[in-house]
Amino acid sequence: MTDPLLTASGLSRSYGKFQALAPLDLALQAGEITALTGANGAGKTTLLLCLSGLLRPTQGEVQVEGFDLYRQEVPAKQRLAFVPDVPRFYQELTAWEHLRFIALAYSAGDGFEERAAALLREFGLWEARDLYPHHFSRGMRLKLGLLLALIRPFRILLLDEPTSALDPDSAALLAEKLYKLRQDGLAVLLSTHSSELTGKLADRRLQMADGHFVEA
Amino acid sequence: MRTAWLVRGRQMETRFAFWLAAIGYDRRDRSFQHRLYLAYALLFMTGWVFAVFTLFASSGAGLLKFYNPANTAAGAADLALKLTLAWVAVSLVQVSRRSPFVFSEDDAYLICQTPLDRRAVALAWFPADWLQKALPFWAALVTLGFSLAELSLNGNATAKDIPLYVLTGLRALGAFLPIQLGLSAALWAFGALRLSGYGEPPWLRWSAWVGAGVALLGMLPAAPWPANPWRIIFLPLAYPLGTGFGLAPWLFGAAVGLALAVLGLLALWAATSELNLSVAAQETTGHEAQQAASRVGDFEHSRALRQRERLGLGRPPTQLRAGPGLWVLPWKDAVQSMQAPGWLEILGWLEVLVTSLAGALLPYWEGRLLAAILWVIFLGQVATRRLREDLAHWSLVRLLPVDSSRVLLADLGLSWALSLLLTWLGLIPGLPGLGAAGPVLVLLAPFLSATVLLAAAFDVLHQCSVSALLAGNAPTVTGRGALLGLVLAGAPLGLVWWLGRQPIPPAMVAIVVGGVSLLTAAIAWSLASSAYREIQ
Repeated sequence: MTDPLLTASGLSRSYGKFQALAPLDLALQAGEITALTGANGAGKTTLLLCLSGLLRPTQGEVQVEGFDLYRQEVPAKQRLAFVPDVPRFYQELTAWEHLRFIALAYSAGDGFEERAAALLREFGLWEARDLYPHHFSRGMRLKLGLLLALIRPFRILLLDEPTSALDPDSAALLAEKLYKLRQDGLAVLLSTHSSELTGKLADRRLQMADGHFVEA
Repeated sequence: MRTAWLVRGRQMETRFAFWLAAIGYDRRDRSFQHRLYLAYALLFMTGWVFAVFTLFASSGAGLLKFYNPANTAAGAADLALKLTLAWVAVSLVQVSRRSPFVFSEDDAYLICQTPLDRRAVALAWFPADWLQKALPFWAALVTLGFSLAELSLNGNATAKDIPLYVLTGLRALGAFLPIQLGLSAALWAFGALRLSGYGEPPWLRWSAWVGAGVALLGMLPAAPWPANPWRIIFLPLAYPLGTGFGLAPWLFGAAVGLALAVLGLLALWAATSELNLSVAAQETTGHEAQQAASRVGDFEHSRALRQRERLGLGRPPTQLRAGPGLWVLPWKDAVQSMQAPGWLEILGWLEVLVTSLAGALLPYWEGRLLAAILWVIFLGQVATRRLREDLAHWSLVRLLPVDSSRVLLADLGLSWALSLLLTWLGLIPGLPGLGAAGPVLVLLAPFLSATVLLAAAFDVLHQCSVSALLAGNAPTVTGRGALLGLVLAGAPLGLVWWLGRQPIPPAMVAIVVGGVSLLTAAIAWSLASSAYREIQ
């Protein structure tokens, strides 16, 4: 077996006395889709935030292809993509400009126009490319959030409730994309309440409760 | 009928309670002492308002003497008429484009979707909005009345003249109040015509422009009726307004005003039977959200909502070229600034320029010190705006493969350069008056502005929590940030002052002070960058 693309060891997160995430270990393998399930407040989003670098863990470390996420953040973040459940956008930038912003930030400007156009068409946002995202519906925002991740190269994709606001066609398209990413040898970790998505997509299921991994 | 009044009454009660809370009154506390405090607070506010009006009356008296030296009362009446006509012109165009009936998002679901009598809703919604819009006009009319009282006393007012001021002010207000009520109701009725039935009448927009044009025509300098017969159309307004300033018997004017009020309210009643509340809500919920944010002091949110409205739906992509990596951040800033130039931001930078200019030009150290304190406060607030904007988009910016220190540098670099430029621009005119301190200040300015800006950034970053940032809420600069900036930037300035009095060569003073200011800037940088990394 090859080295995991992402490893988390002894990862925990507390808010004062409240422990949102108990010390836990996790490894994401290349070519694997892992589903994170659990009730509301189980700690799924906190775990994803810690793994993405958005929230500093209280203890523990995250290695992304050998790079420490909190000490060598630039190479680690080059390899990571995260789609929050409620993506936020700049109100003065259009959807197209957001894609350009992210592509350039990751130095992935070559062939941007073709890639962006293809993705926008695929996800049904082509006609809305010159609109400001604050006029988008919740589902459209989520799709744009996904496109911001897909427009640039990465090795690990983290998704928080990716299908919560998507219509059935878009959810199927996303599932197709995730299959493709798995075939390309990338690692995917997604949190979801959808048993259908977990059953169809996931190679592995991690059940969470009270900040711990529990038997599924 | 009762439901609409009940809901509107509760809304107004809450708004009123907000203002009572602002003066420290808690309506749940029903103790005698607390009621006594309310009486005291109201008495104090009345006295304060009276004092403010008498203060304005001095300037008003000057204005009236300048405007119509031969007959100041006629001048006051003419000014009141022009003010009214200007307001009518603007309001006519406004109500022909957006509903005068303003509904919040809650109203849109709870009121506008119900089968409540449309007239009842319209009549319940009108008084509070009328009051809110009328207050500035009332203040203007009372000021004009006070100004006439001031003129009649030739500037020799004593405490026994207070009733004269009050009566003159109330006379003007009493004449204006029913006129403005009638006009407001008529304007709302006009706006209601657009929201009734299945579409906007084709004549409505152009007739609004024609009406506005006629109102503006009435503002042109011309002799009144009967010298100019065409001005008879303004007589129903000019006559009662004139009675408010003693040009004719007040009771006649009040009667005409009352008739106008009744006519206006009847028009409103007649025009609202088929009012489409859903359309009104669609047009106004955004505006109401802005106003609600402003009312509770959340100006940032209000600004964001206003900006959103101004931006419209979308636009073609910018042609501005962008570089890869870190360079995309200044590109994003440029696109943001070009699309929505923030007037508050421009004002903030002007404040930095003015305070540095004041610091350099004021002849006294006390004044300079005050200007320096204000410079620190204004600079801290305006220069951290971009940083706060990026913090509010945490899930976009923090995921970028850019070191946090570099993000901080990109967010603050341009602000620092601009603050330095404006500070230098402010200091240069005052250099001759500053003596030996002048060149030292110019040399220290890069370090001082960096220190102040970084201290403010540290304050913002230190307050940040990831959960709030993910929800789009970035904290503002507090007094602590300004204080830290003052202490850190004040250290080298204090050293300049002390070393200047010692027998030390000026070159040595410059080297020592330069070193200290570099050190304080480095401390501020270290604090801010470490706070950024440690955001929890």
